[in-house]
Amino acid sequence: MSENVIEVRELTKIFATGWGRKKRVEAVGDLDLAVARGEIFAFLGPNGAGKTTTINLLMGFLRPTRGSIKLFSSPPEARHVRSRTGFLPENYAFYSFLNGPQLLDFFGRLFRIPDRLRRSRIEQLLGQLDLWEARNLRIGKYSRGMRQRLGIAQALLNEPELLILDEPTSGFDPLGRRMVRQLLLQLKQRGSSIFLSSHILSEVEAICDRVAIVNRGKMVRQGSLKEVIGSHEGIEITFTDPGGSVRSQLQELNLKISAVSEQFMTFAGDEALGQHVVDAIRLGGGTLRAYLPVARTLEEVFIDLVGDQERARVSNTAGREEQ
Amino acid sequence: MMVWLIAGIVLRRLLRSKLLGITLVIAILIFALLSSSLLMLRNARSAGDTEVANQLSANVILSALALMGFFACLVGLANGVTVIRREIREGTIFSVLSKPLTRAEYLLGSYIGSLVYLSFVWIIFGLLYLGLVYLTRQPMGKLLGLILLARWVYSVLMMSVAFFLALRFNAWIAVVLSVVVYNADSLYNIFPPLLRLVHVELPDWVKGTVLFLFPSTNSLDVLFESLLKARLNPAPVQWAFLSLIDYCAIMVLLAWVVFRRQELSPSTE
Repeated sequence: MSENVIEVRELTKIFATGWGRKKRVEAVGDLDLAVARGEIFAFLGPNGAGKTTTINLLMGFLRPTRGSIKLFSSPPEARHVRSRTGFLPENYAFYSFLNGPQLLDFFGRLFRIPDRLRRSRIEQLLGQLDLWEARNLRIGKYSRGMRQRLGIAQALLNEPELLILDEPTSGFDPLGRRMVRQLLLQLKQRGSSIFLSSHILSEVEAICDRVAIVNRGKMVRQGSLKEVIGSHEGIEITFTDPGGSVRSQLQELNLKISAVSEQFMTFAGDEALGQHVVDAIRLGGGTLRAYLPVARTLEEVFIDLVGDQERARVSNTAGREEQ
Repeated sequence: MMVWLIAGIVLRRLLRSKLLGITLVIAILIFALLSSSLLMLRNARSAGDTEVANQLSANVILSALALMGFFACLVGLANGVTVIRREIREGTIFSVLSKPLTRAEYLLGSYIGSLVYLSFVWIIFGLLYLGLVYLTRQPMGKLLGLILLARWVYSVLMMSVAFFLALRFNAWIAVVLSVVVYNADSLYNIFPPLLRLVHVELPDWVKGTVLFLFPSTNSLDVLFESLLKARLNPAPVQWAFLSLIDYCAIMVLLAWVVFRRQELSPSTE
């Protein structure tokens, strides 16, 4: 078992808001997660799921209401933790009056990197991230993509053992995304751990080892990519249902049905359930159009898991209102 | 080392802001405002009216000092309130604080950066003041440095109060409270009579302690008066300076107490 670089136990963050700060909003609730050395860990969730709050807690900008956070077995604010960590915030902002090399030099000094090494690293990173040509340009005049590349450069300046990235590819075009992907894979090969949040799930799927999906501050699913996606492999079944009786039978089995022109589509999690659906179609007077074993993408799994929760929440709320 | 790095970047940011340009404009305006008095002074001198000339030159110097002090206090107030709040609002603080430096180093660096900036403002005002002393031929050569130092301390005091309060309250509340705390003299004058109404008399040691920890700007006035009238009694002057330095240190300490556990998030702005 490899050593964990991030260990989070029962992490809860409640914000007091409103007049008199009486309204309590739970942004993160009883979150447990661990990131092992050398792995790429993706932290996923819809907007408002608590991802950025969790990252701010990991960085020590916010304080947990309950629970504990350890980075390299120490509190996040510890100087040795900061020395070994690289961080790219979601809403990155840098001193606009500096140029790229000046900003990296400032951060390099904060990392206490010796002069000669600092200079060579700055040159290397600016070259690697296609910013060398713009080295004399003030950051205020950078495009969004250039700022994001500079953000990644400052996060890599100390050759971090742990990299925490909040939406690292959000400002990039496809070429930029590929560059970041390659960079992260190189870091992984070097033994660095990467904790990243992203909305671009195809990117995440291509590089990450483990995934955590959160929604409304709660952990929905956590595990290796194979565990999370593998549990959602199954059979896509397309059918017609002139009388509607097939759909009512499938709804009794708690299967989701989507309409595609005059046909319907459902998804069975395993072979046995698939066979059950086929029987229901025949008995209900429908026609089986397609029976396709499929491996689901992370995006589909994400939408299923988060969508299920949202549907359950809406129906619970509606139920309470009716009562 | 870290403190100086932060101080350097804060100073560079402040120097790039419009505030220094505004200070220059204010200096020119002050000079323009006093130009009619300077003209009258020249006429009085050429008419040989020494008494009027002396009166006018003293007025010019005192008005210039009052105006410069007022504007420097405004600059100090603006600096104190915005120096850290702006970094939080713009988000620059997050990439800085993710580096291996403590919040105390960041706070102290920001304070020193603002302090040095305020000193630049006083260099501009000092040059203006020198010009006025030369034009009015005021015999204040020896005291010049001390008088400017006293005025600089006034503005540093305002900045320190605002620096602390801006971390605890929102910007406008911090501005209002800073002005109230800075002019605490009136509070000192109001409270004892109010307490006397309910038959409570504050012991002298309580007043003494409070005044030492949070000196009213009266002590500055005493200091300034003694400097201006060349009644340089070393003991009260040293005491006043010590008390004011201690005031600034307490404000920085209070700022640290708030900032060390403050939740930082762009949404907190």
